[in-house]
Amino acid sequence: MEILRVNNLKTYFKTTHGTVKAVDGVSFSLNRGETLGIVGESGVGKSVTAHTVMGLARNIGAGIVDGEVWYEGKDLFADHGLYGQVRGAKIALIPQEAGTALNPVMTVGDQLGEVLSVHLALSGSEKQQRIVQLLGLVELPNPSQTARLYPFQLSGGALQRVLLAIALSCGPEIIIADEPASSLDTTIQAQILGTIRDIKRKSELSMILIAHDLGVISQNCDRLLVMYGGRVMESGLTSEILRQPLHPYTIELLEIYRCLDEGDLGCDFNKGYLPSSYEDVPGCAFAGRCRQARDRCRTERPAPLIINDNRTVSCHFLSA
Amino acid sequence: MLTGKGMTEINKTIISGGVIITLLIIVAIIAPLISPSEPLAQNLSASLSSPGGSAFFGTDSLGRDIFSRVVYGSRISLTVGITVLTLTLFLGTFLGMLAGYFGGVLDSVLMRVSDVFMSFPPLVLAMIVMAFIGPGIANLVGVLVIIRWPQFARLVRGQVISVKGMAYVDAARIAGTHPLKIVLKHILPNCFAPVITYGTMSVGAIIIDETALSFLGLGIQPPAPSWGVMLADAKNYIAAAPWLVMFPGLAMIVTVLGFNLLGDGLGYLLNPKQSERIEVTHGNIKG
Amino acid sequence: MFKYVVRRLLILIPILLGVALISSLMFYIVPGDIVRVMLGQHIDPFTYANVRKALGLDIPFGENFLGFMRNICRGDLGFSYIQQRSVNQVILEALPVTIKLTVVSLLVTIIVGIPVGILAAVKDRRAIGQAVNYGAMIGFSMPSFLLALFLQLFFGVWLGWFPIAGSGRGLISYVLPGLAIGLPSAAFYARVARASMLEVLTQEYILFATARGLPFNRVIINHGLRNALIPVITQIGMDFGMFMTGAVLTETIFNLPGMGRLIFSSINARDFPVLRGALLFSALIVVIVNLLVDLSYIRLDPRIASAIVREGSDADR
Repeated sequence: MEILRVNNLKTYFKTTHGTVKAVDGVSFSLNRGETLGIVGESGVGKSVTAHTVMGLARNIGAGIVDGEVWYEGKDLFADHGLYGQVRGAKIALIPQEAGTALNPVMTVGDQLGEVLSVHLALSGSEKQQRIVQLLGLVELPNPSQTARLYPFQLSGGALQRVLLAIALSCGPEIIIADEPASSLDTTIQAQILGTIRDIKRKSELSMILIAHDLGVISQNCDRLLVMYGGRVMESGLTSEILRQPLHPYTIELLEIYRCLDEGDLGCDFNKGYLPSSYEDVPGCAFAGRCRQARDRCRTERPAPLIINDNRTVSCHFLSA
Repeated sequence: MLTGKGMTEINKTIISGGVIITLLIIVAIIAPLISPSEPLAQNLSASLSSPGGSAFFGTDSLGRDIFSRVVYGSRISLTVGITVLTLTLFLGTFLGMLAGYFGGVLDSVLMRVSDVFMSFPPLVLAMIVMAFIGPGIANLVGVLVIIRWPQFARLVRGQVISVKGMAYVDAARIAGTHPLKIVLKHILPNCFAPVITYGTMSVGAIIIDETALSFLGLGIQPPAPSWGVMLADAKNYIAAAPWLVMFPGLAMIVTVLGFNLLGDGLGYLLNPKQSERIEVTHGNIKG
Repeated sequence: MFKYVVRRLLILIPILLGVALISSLMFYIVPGDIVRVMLGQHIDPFTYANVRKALGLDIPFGENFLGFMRNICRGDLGFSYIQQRSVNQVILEALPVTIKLTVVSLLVTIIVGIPVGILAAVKDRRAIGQAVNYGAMIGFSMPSFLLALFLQLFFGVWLGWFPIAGSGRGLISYVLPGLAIGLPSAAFYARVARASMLEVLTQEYILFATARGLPFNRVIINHGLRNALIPVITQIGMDFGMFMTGAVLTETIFNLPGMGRLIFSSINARDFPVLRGALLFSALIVVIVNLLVDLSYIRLDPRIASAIVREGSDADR
């Protein structure tokens, strides 16, 4: 059952050198209880997409924002005021950098309590109990003591768990996790993702997980969205995509991941680069790097080809 | 990334500051050409006349032309300002560098000494010294340097300390580079930016100091046309002849403003992080 | 933590000593005979000898200085021969005026300056933000004594709303002088507050605060201000000394008998004991206020407190 539908999302940044189309026509849907993974290398627009869905595009400096975000039968983009009730309460974000995401001069417990006060109108001992409960839920040792600590006193992993607690605090329906724990130790990252999986199993939480690690993807995501140059290249069930990737970029991405995983030094990567953000790309975003690129790829933007219920690919090469 | 909008704002500031200062310098240089009369020439029959006629800014109690005096006064202010700045810059930078680089006792002594200087109420030290060793422009410049150098020294010291900790300085030292060379080649260039910014903005403060001291009778002495001297005189006729206060006052404000604008603009220019902020700010946080 | 306070207090001592030393040296560096400079050329030999002895000019400087320090520990700052009363008395008389003036100036600075600065930061991209920024620049290009003259002219002489001299009419006498000191200062702090707030607003935690659904006001106040005001408050604290004693010119223009004018008049009158006592007193206040500010900074920013505890050293030097 679909609980979130994003249509033709566009987020452009204006700079002196031109317009950066960080997100250029991204559409997807999220079903209840599933984890949708957004993958792609650094800079393809995953994080901006997440922030845009949360209605924070302007806050990160975007000039033009367009598209539709359908949630609970309403288009949040049509009436931005709706975000007030949605953010934090129904759709929660777990940001990428745990270290800088929290106010350094407030205790962790206070910041968690804030959200409880604002969204659930809790106060006093009830609030305190809930804080301790939440911190325990994310498997932080000594929750009541931890609540009194300041962000700088906690390790990266602990902070990430705090962010998770904050995200879960008001019982949201959707969590958008922006590369959680990616800057931390892989073991810690695995632990945290494990915690998330556990919690997700017990509730009917739906999640959008931004990731760039094959292990993370295969273990956590039900469906995948492969992005490049601000556009969706391929989408579908994780199992299907991993087994048989269709889009040239997906193929290359998986090759790279497997190569890195195995520590194979003989990996042959096409030494391409992301299109300069300032150039306008009329054709396929991947044309500059694609081994199978043809003239048509450079001039005409491929439309998503629907292969079956779950699978879409945007590539001329396949439709030929 | 210095984006367009940010740069225009910085440029506006620097240009407006620069224009003001350039005009001032020009006025100071061509003072004799544009003044209708000698700044010291008295004309008692025309004393305290309001602006108009040949005296654009009016005349003071001794019939001296205010316009001419203001124009010549700019020479005094600019000379004092720039001279004091240059001397303070060298002294402060030198001492700050020593303290920062060598640390230890030298550093502690410098810090304590500058603390003592900074514990005196502002200007009071200058007032005392001027009162006791006598007036005169050389004394004035000397005194102003004495009260200002600690701030520069601290600034430079801070910069030196932070640069000193950087990897490439360690590398140079391990390679056996002579300390002097390290200082000149690696550390000094990094101090330029804040020192230049702070220095430019200090000129305004120095000019204010000079004017204040002269106002109190402890700086430039009458009948020299320092703006401070003019204001001291003006104070007595404030009700009867407000132009005596207004014109030197305005001249001072414009001068100080010019240096502040320039310093501010330079500050943004030399500190890219701040100018980036102008463009990519969380401008509209609502919604 | 306690060790930190003690160490800071210990540092006070050399500073105060330095000030006392310099002030005492005055007695010796003045050209001419100091007693004659103070009391006139034609005093009788008897008085001359007495004063000279009382000032300790007969004994070596070191002993004299030690004696002075001993007196200070007893709370005695000396005796003014010109005014024929103790320095303590003179200072205590001037102190209330200065306190009132300082309070008024600080109020003006804080009430006008900080909200304006914060507003300019929040509305930075709008015209009003930029206008405020440049307006503030003009504001602090105007020194307080000049503003004092203008205010005197405008409000005192032309409009006659406020008294232009003396402290006679109670609190209202402090309005113009307070504005003269407070407004340029407010302009300066508006820019400091603005810069600080802008710095804070670009921080990641502000974005995240909005992301977790906190309302705009709450983000600005609890997260923005809370962090932005820390450097502003510390700066004000450090400038406190300037507020208290830098009012020399303003007090002179408005004829308020406070510490500033006291210092100036004692310089003019060559009343060295008073001058020395006043300087030492001012330095003491400045140094104590700085210490208090540093301590409060610890309370405001938890990171500093732990840095101190961890490193066991001055976090700010």
